Amino acid sequence: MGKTLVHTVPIDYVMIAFIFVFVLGIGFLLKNRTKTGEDFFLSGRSIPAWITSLAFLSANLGALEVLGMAASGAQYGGTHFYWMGAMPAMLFLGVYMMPFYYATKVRSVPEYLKLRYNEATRGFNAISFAVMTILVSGISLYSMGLIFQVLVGWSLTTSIFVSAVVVLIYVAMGGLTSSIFTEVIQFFLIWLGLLLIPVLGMVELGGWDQMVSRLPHGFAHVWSHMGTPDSNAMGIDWLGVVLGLGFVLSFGYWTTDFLVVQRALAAKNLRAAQNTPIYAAYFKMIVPFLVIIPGLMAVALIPDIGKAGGPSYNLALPLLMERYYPPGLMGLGLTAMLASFMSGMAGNVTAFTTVWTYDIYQAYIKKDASDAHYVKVGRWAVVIGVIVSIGTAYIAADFPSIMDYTQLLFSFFNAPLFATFLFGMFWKRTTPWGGFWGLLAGTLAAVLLYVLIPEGYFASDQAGNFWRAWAWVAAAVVTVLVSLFTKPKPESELKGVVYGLTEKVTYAGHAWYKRPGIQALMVCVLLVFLNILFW
Amino acid sequence: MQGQTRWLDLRFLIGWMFTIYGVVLAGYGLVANPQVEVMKGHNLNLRTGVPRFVFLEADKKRETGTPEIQRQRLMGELLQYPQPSRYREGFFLLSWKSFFKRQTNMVESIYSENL
Repeated sequence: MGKTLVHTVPIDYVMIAFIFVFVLGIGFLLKNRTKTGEDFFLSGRSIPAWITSLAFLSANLGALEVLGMAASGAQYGGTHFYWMGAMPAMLFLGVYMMPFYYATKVRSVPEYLKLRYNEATRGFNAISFAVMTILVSGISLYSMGLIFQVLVGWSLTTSIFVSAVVVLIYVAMGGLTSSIFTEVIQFFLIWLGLLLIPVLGMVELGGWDQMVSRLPHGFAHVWSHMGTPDSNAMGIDWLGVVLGLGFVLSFGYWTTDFLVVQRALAAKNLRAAQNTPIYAAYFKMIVPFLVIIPGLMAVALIPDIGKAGGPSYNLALPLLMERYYPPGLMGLGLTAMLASFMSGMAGNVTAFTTVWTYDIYQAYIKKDASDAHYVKVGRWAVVIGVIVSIGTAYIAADFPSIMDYTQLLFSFFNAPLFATFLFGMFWKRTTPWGGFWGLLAGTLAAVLLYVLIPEGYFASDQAGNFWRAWAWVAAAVVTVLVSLFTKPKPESELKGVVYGLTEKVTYAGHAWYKRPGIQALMVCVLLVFLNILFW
Repeated sequence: MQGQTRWLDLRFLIGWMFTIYGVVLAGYGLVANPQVEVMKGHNLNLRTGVPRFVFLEADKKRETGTPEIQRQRLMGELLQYPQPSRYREGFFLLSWKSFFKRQTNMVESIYSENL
């Protein structure tokens, strides 16, 4: 046990127990309504856009995101990850890419790759995604256990098992619907539990200007210190941020990662699917107030954070919670952290389950089984996925650094995959083998770049991450070169799959607030406004 | 069937979640009022809990409607009017507005006391 940061009282445990009971109850409610494969893996394609969009965001708002982004706020300052990184990519997904995902009726991202390219591309993507997703899920399980150990003194085993088993039960019962429902509830709970931190921080610091005056130069700005690499904590200039983060890394994640795309596929029609990431962008815009601002406050209030001998940046948010929350409210704050962790893990597990069942089991192990059989396999995949995650969590406990690398590697898969998708969707001349070799080359390039460039070569870890965008370039070049020398698919097979050969949908008859294009434009305007406001 | 759909309405579930957390927090704040070093003198539990509780109470009151509407509903005159889900949806938005208003008031009061 040892010394812990927070003193808990029984009421805190009541709060925590309640959310477990609540999400399990939802699992039971939905169990009887989840019968076919369509229900289990795609929620019967019946969910309205406001729910899918909150789930879209919440699946990403896992514990690693919440704690990690607060840490990044404390270490580097700025809100680039939101207002430059995520949002443009989300809009692009909604306006341009979603029609291909949704209208082709594919059930997963790898399945689209099969439709557009070939079996090999799909297999490569399916297997790498399945393995990496489950590893990452284990890593976040471990990180969560670690935070609770430091904070309230629970043993690793307690927090890992309790939360993993709860996620297992409700996902196995209700499938994607259960995951989406609880994600939305957890989304509100995260806000309920954490919103008071920035508010009270502002009260203690005496307002925005007071806070800024206690921060390192440029931390509260987005662009004004990005002119040269030496003038900001990330050690990178604006071009690196725009191309590396804004273009390659975030487009790679938000447009191709099945974890988020799956939520949009559950929407009830194409318009709802397109609106999913666009509505989510509205909410994404305000997430920095919940995570980045507390990070900044931590720098202002806890001077030795991140320095030798001081607490690590990752504790930025928990430390503020400890500073402000009395018992009772503390229980709510801890519940919010658990909720964020569970929604992230449920997201990983449902994405893994679908890819495993449709793209690995159905494709390579048992081709023509009944629908009920695949649902059963899906339920077992949830069980096995969670058990493997728990195992990974214990491996991570022994080799923390290896697990850091795994997670980095996972991000490598996305950058080249985005090149494969971009060319696949918008250039009909791209050939099946062009796609495959491009993806393979890009992934290898990402790994090589990571292994070959010595540690400490870049000004900060973040700068290194951004420049790994070269993997995208490698994938793009190889895709184009191989495509020029191999035979493309006949155009008849590419109808509805490639931009030039698909009829464009129009929503001209709908009210303005229902039209994805207009909504996306409005988000753009707000985005530009925010970037200028915090210039 | 009606009861079952109600339980599957996310807005309904979220409303209950907020209420329960609100009641527990506010109750605990009233009884124990624990303090932290930095924010001495504020009953944070009560202040966080109460607005959340009030907001669903308002919701419920609106949902049953005025006595006149209740009477008409009983008489069967309003069979079409209060479509349950549309009706709730409208008031869901209304109650959110009042919720945010209360929330801002609360923040402002913390602010002014502090100054």
